[in-house]
Formats: sequence, C-alpha cells, structure tokens
Amino acid sequence: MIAVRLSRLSHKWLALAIGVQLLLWSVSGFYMVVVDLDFIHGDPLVHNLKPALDVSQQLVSFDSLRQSRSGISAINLRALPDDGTAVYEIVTATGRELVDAQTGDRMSPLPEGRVIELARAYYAGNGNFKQVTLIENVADKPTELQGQALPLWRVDFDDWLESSLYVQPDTGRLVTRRHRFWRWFDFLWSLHIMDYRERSDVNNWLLLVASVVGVTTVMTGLWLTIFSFDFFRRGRRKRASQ
Amino acid sequence: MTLLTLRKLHKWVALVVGIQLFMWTLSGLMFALLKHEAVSGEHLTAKPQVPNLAAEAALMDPTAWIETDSGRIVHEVMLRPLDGGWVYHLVRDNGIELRDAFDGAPVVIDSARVRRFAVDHYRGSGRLVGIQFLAEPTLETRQAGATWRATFDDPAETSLYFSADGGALVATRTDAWRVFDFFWMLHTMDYAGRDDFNNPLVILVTSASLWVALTGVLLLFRVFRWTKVPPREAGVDAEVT
Repeated sequence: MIAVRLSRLSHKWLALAIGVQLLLWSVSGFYMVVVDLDFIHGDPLVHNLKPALDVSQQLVSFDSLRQSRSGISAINLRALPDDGTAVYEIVTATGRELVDAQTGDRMSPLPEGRVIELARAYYAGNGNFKQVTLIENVADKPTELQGQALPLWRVDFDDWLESSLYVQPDTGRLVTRRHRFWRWFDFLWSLHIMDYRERSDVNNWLLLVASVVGVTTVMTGLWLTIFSFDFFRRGRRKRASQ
Repeated sequence: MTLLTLRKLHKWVALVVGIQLFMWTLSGLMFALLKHEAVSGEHLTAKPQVPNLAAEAALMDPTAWIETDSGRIVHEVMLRPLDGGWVYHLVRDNGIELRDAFDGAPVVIDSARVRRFAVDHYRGSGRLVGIQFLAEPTLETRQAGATWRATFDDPAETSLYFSADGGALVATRTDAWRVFDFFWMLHTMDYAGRDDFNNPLVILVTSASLWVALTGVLLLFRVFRWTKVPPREAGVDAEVT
C-alpha cells in the first residue's frame, strides 16, 4: 500500500504546483482545436486576389528600370487589385519602390486614400471601412504585428469580428489580417507556451520547468490510475478486514 | 458534488485520456528542449549573392511572351536572380514558367542546376552527397509540390529542398526538425499529415482532458483542507480510496 500512498501523495502535491497551468494548457488547447485554423488565419476575411496582368498598353521596359537604379535584387510586374493598374515593384538593398508601369512615375509610398481603396478590394467581409492608421514607429507597433517590418497601414472595418487589414505602403500588398478570434487565439497561445511578452519563444525556462513538472504529474496520475483500477476492490476488502 | 463522485469522474476519464495527456506534456517538454535554431536549420543556409544587374547585358522584354500566350493569363512577371544569372519568373493560371532574362530560353530545373543551388545555399560543414527528384510532396516538404532534395553528410543530416518548378529553396530539414516533427504529430494527433489540429480525434480527447484538468483542480480544493474537517468526514474519505 506504500506505492498507492506514494502515488497519491506525489500526484496531489505535484498537481497543487502545476494544476492551474495544466488547466490553462487544456483550456487554450481546447480553443485551438475547436476553432478552425483557416478561420483564425482570416482566410474567409479576404479575397484571394490574383488580377490578370494587362499588357495591351505600352509599358516601361524592365531594361530601362535596370539602367536607372543600382543594387537591384528583383523587379516584379503585377496589377494592383483595386483598379488593375500595372505596377513595377522594385526590390533593392534599401527597400521597395512602386512604379506605375505605364508612366514610369513613382507611386510609393502610397497615399492614405489609395491604401483604403486597396484594403476595400482585399476585404471580403460584410462590414464597412472604419478607420486607417499609419504605423511607423516600433513603439506604436501592436503585438499582433509580430515580426512584420514597418511602416504599415492598419485599416479597420466595423464588422463584429473587429477585422484589421495591414497594407504595406511601399508595395500595396496585404501583409496580414487580424480579427477578434485571432487575437483570442494569440492570447491563449501565449498562455499555452508561457511566453507572455513576445508570444513566440517556445525555448523559455518557465515552459521547460512547467512541462517537466507537468509530465511528472501526468506520470504519477497514470500510476495512481493503475492502482485505482487494479487494486480498487482488493484494497478495499483488505482495509475492511483490518 | 461529493469527493467520491468527483474522484470517480476524474479517475475514469483520466484513464481514457491519461496516455494522451502524457504524450502532450512529453511533447511539450520536447518543444521547450529542442532549440529553435537547430529545428529551423536557419543558420545552415543563406541566400546566394545577387549578381550585379547593372553590369549585365540588355534584358529581354517579357511582355511579348504574355501577348503571344494570350490564352493563358499571366498574373505576375518577376525578374529575379537564379543560379548566378537572371530569369523571368512568370506566374500563370496553370503554373510557373522560367525564362532566361537575356536570351529568353526556357530554364529547366535539372539535377545539375540543383547541385549548384545546393552548394550556393548551404553554409554547414558537410558535403553534398545526394540529389533526388521527388514528384510528390513528402512529410518533409508538406505542401511544397514537386521538389528536388539535396542531402548533406553533416551531423544534422541536413536536407535542402528546392521547388521543381521555380527552383526556390522551400525547406531545410535537420534531425532536430525530424524529432520535433515526430513529437508535433503526437501533440496534434494528426498521424497522417501532422499539421491539422482541428481533427475530430484531437477535439474529442482535448474535451476529455479539459474535463480531467477541471475536475482535478476542483479535487485540489477538496484534498487540501485548509479548514478543520470534522474527524468523521475525514474517516469516510479515507474509506473511498
């Protein structure tokens, strides 16, 4: 019976130490498995826009762009999704530049009005445009932007999901989207991996210690479970005869 | 709720999900232990140097190919470095097309080219020991489509995967990643694809384990008596082991 008492004692005291975290792991894990991940990623919130490139008009050539700039690492020719304007996105060591492919005029950084139009084109929800904010400083960067590079425009919509689309001013691209359920997921994720600030570092000491205690608690629990079932009747009979 | 009922409820469900609770905490421990840098293999590769475009010969005009192939919609034309030169990467409705940026010749990703990609990207200590074409995605490439695999003989048994249509480096896999991914499978309970943690099995077992954790925490309030308990009730509890 020493083993039974030991298994119960160890499980009890270990559980006292880690119980709340085990509950938090279960609650956050439950949310993650029951809410569809594509929905969390905001896939239904935006159109998968791939406008066709219209080259019937005379375009500025790749070669002339090459000659007027140095340190190019890529040039992309594509169409903006709001009105189909053909644009060149020129990538250099210092950043990205957007050029109107017909006139050769520089378009970046895109003005607020154009960013709103682009966000409206990307947005597939049923809300209306609410507000737009330019985020330039790291100090103003919301945690939900994680490692994304600044500057970015945040375009909010007034739907019940509290959707925000983030548009890059130098490319017009939609870099990410956030909504109520993503934000909950992210909060619960921070509880799950026990990284409460960056919410991304799984190699932290707190998680390591908690999972060692957690795995031990579960092991003693399993040990206890074996006794609870195998020796349940026998143990009781023994005690009754004592 | 009496202590007996609470204990029974906790115990029976714990028996069913106990094994999985063990798997979850164990795999969680492995995630905390395995260093992120070793798993991602991020230091094993680097982008090859970009050749100076300004110093090259005149570029071809790719719009001609778009017009002549008017039946196939083009979404994007990317001029990008590849294999020491420059290519036009055309994104069409039905896939990717690569053409040399200076003479317009179609660029094919073959084993000789992948050999050069592998050496140009790799920054580890091993030697390239194998090149292999994989027509179908594997667990190591997930959704990457057809790939070329370059294998190195370093201690991490590094494999670099390049996409068969665009030639881009799509995955770096090491032994640390393989161990991580195995435990990831145990964690998500998706034993086939490993990444789908919205599967019915994991939802069922998570619901049950939430029950175990909840009744467990409730039990904690009962088994640790902070107030004085009449001796008679204590005796009753000792009976129902």
